[in-house]
Amino acid sequence: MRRFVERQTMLPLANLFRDHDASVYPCGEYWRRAVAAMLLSGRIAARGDGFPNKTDVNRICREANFDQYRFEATGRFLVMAKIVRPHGQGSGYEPARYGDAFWNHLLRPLQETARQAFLDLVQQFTPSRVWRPTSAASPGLDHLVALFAAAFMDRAIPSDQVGDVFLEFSKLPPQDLTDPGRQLGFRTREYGVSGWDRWLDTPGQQGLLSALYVSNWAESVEHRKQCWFRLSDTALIMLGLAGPPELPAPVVDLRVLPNLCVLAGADLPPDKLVTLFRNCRIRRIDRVIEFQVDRRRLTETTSPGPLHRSLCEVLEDSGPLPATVESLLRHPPARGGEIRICACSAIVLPQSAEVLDAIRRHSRLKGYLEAGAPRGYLLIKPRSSPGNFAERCREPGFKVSLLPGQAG
Amino acid sequence: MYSARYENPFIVQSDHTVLVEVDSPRYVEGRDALARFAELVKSPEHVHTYRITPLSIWNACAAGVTMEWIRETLRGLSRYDVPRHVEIEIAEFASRYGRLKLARDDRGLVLSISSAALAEELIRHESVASFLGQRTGPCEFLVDPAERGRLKQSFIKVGYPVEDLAGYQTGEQLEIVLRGETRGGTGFQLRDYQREAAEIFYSAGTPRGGSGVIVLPCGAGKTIVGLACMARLQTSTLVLTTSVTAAHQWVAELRDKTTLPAEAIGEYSGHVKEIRPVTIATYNILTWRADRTDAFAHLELFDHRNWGLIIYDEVHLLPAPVFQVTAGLQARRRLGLTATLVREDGREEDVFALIGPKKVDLPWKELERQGWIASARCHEVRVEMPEALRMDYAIASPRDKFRIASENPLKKDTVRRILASHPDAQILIIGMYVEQLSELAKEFAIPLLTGTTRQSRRDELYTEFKAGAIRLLAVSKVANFAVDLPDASVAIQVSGTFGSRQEEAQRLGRILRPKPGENQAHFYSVVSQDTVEQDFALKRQLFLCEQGYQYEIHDFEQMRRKQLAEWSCPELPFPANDGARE
Repeated sequence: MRRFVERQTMLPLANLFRDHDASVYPCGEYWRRAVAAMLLSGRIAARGDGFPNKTDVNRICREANFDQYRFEATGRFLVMAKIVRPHGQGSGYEPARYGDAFWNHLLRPLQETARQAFLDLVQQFTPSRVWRPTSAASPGLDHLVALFAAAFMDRAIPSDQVGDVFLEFSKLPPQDLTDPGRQLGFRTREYGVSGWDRWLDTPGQQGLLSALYVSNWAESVEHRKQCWFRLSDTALIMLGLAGPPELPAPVVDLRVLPNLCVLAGADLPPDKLVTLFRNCRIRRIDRVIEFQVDRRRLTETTSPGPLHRSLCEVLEDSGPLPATVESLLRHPPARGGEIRICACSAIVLPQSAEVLDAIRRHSRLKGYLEAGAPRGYLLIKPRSSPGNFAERCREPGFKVSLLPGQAG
Repeated sequence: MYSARYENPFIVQSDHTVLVEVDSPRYVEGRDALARFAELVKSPEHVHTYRITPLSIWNACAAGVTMEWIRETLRGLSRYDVPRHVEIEIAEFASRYGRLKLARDDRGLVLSISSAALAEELIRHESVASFLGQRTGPCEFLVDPAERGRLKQSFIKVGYPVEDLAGYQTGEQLEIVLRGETRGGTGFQLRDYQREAAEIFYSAGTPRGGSGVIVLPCGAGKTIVGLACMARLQTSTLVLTTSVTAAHQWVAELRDKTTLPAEAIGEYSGHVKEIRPVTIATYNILTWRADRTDAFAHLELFDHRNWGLIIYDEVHLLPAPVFQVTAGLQARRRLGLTATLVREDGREEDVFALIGPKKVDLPWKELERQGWIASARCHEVRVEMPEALRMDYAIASPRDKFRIASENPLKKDTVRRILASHPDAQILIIGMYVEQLSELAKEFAIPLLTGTTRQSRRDELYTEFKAGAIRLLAVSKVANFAVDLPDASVAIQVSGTFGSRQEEAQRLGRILRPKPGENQAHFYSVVSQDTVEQDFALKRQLFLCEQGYQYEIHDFEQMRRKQLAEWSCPELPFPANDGARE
């Protein structure tokens, strides 16, 4: 194995990655926690295959100025690692079996689930072939990665060669692979050396590498116009080849500022983070996440509702709220009232000028309206359904009734 | 687990922003250190936000700050570990400073680049190459002096600052001495921060100083800083201001506080065209032209004399044609003065490149604490819309809605109550709509000053107001800037320009001049409740909120319902509505 390793083109890691942060605690990065909280916030629907809906991801990433591809990869990993799962009834996500381990930095269960997630990802990314066994778990490809990592410790390989190097590595004489495996504490019945190369044809190599990147087990960096690949510290820790670094001090700051800005540490308890992601606009994702209290959403309802209460509960922990935030959360915003709809002619009679104005300004109602209504009335567009309009009016708390003499 | 150093004020984010906890015991130490290499973005109560940018690092390097000092400062004052990539990127920014130097020798202006490889890389940028002259060596290029400003602008855009050591034209020699006693007979001396600001700008006369922007709150004496810089440089000066009134104030200050004879000071405006060793001109006259296709005839003023210093008053309002001319004036010293370096057109970068970097930026509350500007209480008074106007408002277009809400006739009663609660104060009623102001002026029998008021009448009204002959004055937005009314202690804003943060700050600035006695000013913003005007008011208040000001919110309806005795704040005409907007 040593001779094989020495034959490869390599670069010591010290020459690369010099600007990388010190090794981080696995699954403890602020952005990973933010993605998990965003998934749990209910703002992202799950697709049929369980992964996040791309339209929702695009929308939330644009709002937060966050890398959409990183979100998708992280979201995929979190689902595979059973940290979140599609909601049983709704369209969003809920905490899954390893949720606690993730939020509380419990290493053993995280190692267990990360290895399984990696294998599931390989399985998912690799197309079926008749010569391949049906399960990526059976040949124990995670053990191949562990042996590879041990062999190429502290070295980087050109990214365009790494698939072939994996293949050649897997073809080493079985004895050359099992002996080091034994030294690493692997039990031979847990993996099948002879089956590895069947997973490493060209599409298989791509699948393996994709799984490594999605799991955050591999990273690549450009150096002198060449991309270099290495297995990350996270991979080494998850595979048991290195101990975890010390857990960093938790960032648990929570501040509400008068300009409606909320600063929340990424290590706050998940229920708080989830509430903030659900109800506020996301300004920046960092170790201290910046939110903006969404004035429009808070003022479009006719009475303080669950949205106001839940936000209030979270924000009050930071101390007395500034008056701007307090008045938004505690005082009834839009004027409540009744509207009466004449369904056949799509004429709407609001109870008062305030109700008329509130509907004209409401982000989810104004699109139904057409210009040219008689004074004191509203007019629904011919192509819009008065029924839908009535339903939407009820959501923020308006009472809806039919004008006398109308049915349906 | 690592322990966090929670007593430290900094949290360094991965996008180079630094959150600074104001309540930290090490806040003052942190703020003073950070001011040297980061820009203050906002400063609301509790947490201030600074940003480390290439520009801020280059400014720090220019002032002699080292990378090691920056790193140790961040590490020593941070609550959590400083992200490694942030440290490396700061080092990278710092390493770029000084790699390009612009100097003058017998060949003219010469740009030298630290390495041939970098020179090769840079000349491949099309935007840069066009400003480079003949290549006289692997790392040296001649530069056309006329392109000095644009060259610096273009290099900054590709990420390399040019250290401009080419110096400045000395300008015509002019003896200017600040008086120890004003002509009016009162003692006069520079305040510490004014002296310091002038020294930072002057920078011992080296090419490292001589151009930049000084940001001070309204009423803190920016004009005096300008005079101090003139006295330091002893050279002919062109001062550009926003209005004739402001120009007259400059003239008055020059006469009052310097030894300059009257014949050395000239005014260059629509009415008068005097070009003297110290000339005060308005932006309006410089950008005037008979027709849109004509050239700006008065821009020639810049070449009429050998100016040693050009002062841009209210630099945040600098019009585009003046920017263009300024690009060609890099050999002259340039000083920008402003209270709010917030340009609604987003051209702060051009101010940096063409006028110079921000040299001094003192938080408003800091000067208030020191007593140099009046302590201000800001109030937002919410007034109901009258029943008769509600439907008109509800069905109006968004723009008309704002106007209907702004001109709410019930504001008249509110203004009356405010006037009654300040029976002895000098009060300004400020608005955007002249009709509304006319009605108020008629109602309360007070003089009105608008854009159509003749200059002589304006001067007369300002003088009478200053002298106390008139106590109330209604003004339109012509009085937003650069009008010195030192005795006004109450301002009532009845309407404004939509969500303009800068206007709100400038209007508050009218009453911030220090007052004798309690040194207290009141700023009332009267808005129609539950209308778009209330939404715009929130936006308008953001700049002041970020400077640490509080808005007390009062509810007119609430006031009507409650008995006077129940009012929570008896000295005010309105009860506070559950607290304050800060």
